[in-house]
Amino acid sequence: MPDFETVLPFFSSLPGRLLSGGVAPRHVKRIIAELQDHYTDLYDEGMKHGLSQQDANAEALARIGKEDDLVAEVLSKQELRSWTSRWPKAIYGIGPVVTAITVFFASLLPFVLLLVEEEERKLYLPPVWMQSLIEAGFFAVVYILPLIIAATVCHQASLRRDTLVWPIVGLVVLCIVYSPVHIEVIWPTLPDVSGNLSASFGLPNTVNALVRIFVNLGFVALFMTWCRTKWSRYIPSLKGSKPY
Amino acid sequence: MSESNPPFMTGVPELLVLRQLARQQMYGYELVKAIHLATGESIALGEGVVYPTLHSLEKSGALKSTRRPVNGRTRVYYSVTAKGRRRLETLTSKWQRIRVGIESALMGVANA
Repeated sequence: MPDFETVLPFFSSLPGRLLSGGVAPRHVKRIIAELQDHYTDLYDEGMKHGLSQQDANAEALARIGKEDDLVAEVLSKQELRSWTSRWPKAIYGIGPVVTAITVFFASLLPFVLLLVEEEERKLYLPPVWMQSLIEAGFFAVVYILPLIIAATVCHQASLRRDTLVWPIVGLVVLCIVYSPVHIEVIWPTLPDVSGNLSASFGLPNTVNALVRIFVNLGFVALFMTWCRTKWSRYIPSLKGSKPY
Repeated sequence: MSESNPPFMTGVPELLVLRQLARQQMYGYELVKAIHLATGESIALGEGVVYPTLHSLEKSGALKSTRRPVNGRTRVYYSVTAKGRRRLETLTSKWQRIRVGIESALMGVANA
């Protein structure tokens, strides 16, 4: 078996340089995995030709090529770059708020289609379990969704070594725009009485909305710090695990 | 060992890769050996450079890859698609023209 410890610097610094250059993580993982396989084949070839373990390692590394040349070659391929690297303003700057608003309206649609009688604009009274489910869904859309989006953005930005400017701009905008979002359902108490569904967007002009802005910003800061600590040093695994 | 000249070599790895893979599907190490044999080891490139080229060609639809377990390892085999064959024809004719041009320039120098 080749001694991966001696070539560890090569295989551990390369992924970081590629990710920082904007190469998509899946390409980085595959390139590293294939290079490791290639290195193993070269090492085995060296050993078959009677080289010592140390010389076989050195020969294999020399034949794979200089790290700088390899990095330059990969970075010259625009098509291997991730979307976030190519369009950071769109993906990180506008993406979070567009996603949140889309999910917000999409979550209302089935509710309106299934439970509101079109002609009389009355709200059907569903079974209690369905009422609870719907209310839980709306709670998730209002309170949990921005946190899931924020966590995803922080994770992806850290994993890809992207600069934090646009993720931070996007998440601050999300916190401000999405915090006043409100959905309220008042179920009809009697069969002939109308219920009410109200959903609103607006400026954060209530104390509740302002508190939510700061709470969400706090979570964003927490996610960002944690993800930068955990994922900014992420290296696709060396031999022993399935790398792709 | 000769020094490689990346700007001048633009398109060469792509041409060599497509040419070899048009004959049969191969994995990276096998492909590099085939290129060495085919070129008489006259072109010096770091062997690792073949992978970004393979990924780029796959991304553009010129190649497709399949994973196969071989002796406890997963090999990624590459083969040329119809689009890749058309790309190979284009590249080959382009490089034929360059070759003729350089040859005639060299002949011109020789005859001067």
